Amino acid sequence: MRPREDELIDPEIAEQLDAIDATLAGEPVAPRFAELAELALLLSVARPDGPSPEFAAELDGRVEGRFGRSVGAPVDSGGSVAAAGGWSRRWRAWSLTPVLGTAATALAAVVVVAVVLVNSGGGTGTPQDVARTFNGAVTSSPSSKARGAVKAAPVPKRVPVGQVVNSARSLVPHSAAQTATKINGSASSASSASSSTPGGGGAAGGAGTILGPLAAPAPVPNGRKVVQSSILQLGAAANRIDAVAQGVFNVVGAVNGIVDRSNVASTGGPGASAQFQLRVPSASLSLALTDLSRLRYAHVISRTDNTHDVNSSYVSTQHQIAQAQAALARLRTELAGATVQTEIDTLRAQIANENATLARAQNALLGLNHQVSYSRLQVSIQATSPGAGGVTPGAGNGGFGLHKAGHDALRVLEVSAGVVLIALAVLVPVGLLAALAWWLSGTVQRRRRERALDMA
Amino acid sequence: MSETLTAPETDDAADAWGRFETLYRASRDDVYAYVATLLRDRVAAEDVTALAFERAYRRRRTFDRRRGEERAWLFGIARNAALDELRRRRRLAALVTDPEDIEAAGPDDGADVALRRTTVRAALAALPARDRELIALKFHAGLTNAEVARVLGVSESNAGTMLHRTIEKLRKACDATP
Repeated sequence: MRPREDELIDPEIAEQLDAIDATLAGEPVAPRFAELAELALLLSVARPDGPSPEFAAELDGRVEGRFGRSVGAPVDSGGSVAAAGGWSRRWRAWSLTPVLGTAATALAAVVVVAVVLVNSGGGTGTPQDVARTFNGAVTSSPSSKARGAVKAAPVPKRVPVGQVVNSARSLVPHSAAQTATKINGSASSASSASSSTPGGGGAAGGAGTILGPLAAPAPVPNGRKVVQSSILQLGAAANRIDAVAQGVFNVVGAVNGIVDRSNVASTGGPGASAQFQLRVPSASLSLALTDLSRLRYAHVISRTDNTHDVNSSYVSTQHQIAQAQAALARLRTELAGATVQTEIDTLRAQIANENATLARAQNALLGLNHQVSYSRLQVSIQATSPGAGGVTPGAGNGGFGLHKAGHDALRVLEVSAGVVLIALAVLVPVGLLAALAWWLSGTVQRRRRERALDMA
Repeated sequence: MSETLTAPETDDAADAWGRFETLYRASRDDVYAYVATLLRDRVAAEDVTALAFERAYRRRRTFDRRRGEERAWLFGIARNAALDELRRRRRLAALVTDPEDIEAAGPDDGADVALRRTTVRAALAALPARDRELIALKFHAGLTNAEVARVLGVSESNAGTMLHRTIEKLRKACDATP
């Protein structure tokens, strides 16, 4: 029961209480309170004698020793205090339970939040996150799944969602329509052509052996003939264009690709750029794109993946070859049996014609095979402002500045605020429940004690 | 022979210990008197008194002066310990109480005073435990009305009213005694 200070006491009662206090203090009281004063004195005299000297001395000693021993030391006839001492220890241990429980809950909440954040990649809906999620979906195609690339991939930055969707559209295996995407490569003012050296160094920056977030979406290998091509636009600091270009050469060399054409303009300023026309083995296209996306000092601005189903052309060409070969066999048989010169001349002309047809078809088939086996890859590198991203995950670059530090700090604050918010969402109800339980426990204990007093 | 090495005390710890020791010296007999009146068992009163001081020592840092004086805080702890003892005894159904020495008289008491004292003791012994507790807090432990209110968890005016009511009961009981 809480004290209520606003309660008023009856004036007569107040006077009697004052008289009692005065009596106990040894002060005189009004004659009308004489009987009350005598009763007060008798009551104070009725106070029990003090504790036994032995007990007083022992308690003094324990106080001097600051209760170094347990409270159960003095044992009465019923052992009540020994029991109470054990109870006291149990009570102290029990009283720690809510604290330990709250701490354990908080720890569990933090772990859960951390796991959720790690698995969701931050959980906020920034454009980067959308692109990342989408890339995860793209790389979960059967061929990519086999390589386990879905969630282990680092985060690509600055990938416009529209561009990625475009590439996804070109993933349809039977789509004959190619998706053309313009690459915003700046024209080089000074060009210096260079050729690749196949079989060169390993993939720079592509240290990871798993597919990156920009692993090329590949058609399901179902036996059809599909021509693939990709357009990759990278951004890098102007003074890093050379290094990134060298990285492109290295990646192409690593996958035994071919540099058809390259154009690297190193101005050191905003006009610096590089363009590459590449052919890489189709089987290595995904790996090459992954490595190119992870090039040190570079970041992906856009990427377009195209597929073109040439199966019908391939089959048709094969049919043409078969027909030409059959016709040639038939004509050669007829020529062997021909006796008239004019007939022989006509057959030879027809054979020459069929030979030409066969050669054209075989060339076409060879060309198709080559297109299927080697995918075309256009890579352009353009200079970007220093603060415009470009930190490839896992690769330290020299472009760290105030802008990026501020961005990172903001991100850390966002994540921290999220963690705090989620932790509060867990801890506040738990705390309320704990407080309610504590209040109920105290109330029940108080009532039990009061009941014990009433029944004594 | 064994020695216990302890870290040097900080000023706050030394101050808290000094306050507790002063409180102990000033209140030991009062706490015992209150508990003995409530339990009517001197041995148990000694044990409960010791337990109360140990609890107070363990919790001395939780004392908040804004919520009352130290004596009221200490008697609150003693009250809980005494009521726990009452509960324990009730569970054991073996309430053993000391016989009231209602004939006890001071060495220099006159016959009339001795008679009055005997009458008051008898009336006090007949009171319910809740009323007896109130008398013990006020007249045996020497608490102020505000401190009594703090120990019982009621308002000061309520404590005063309860005290007045209990004294009236005692008066009637004394008057009814032949």
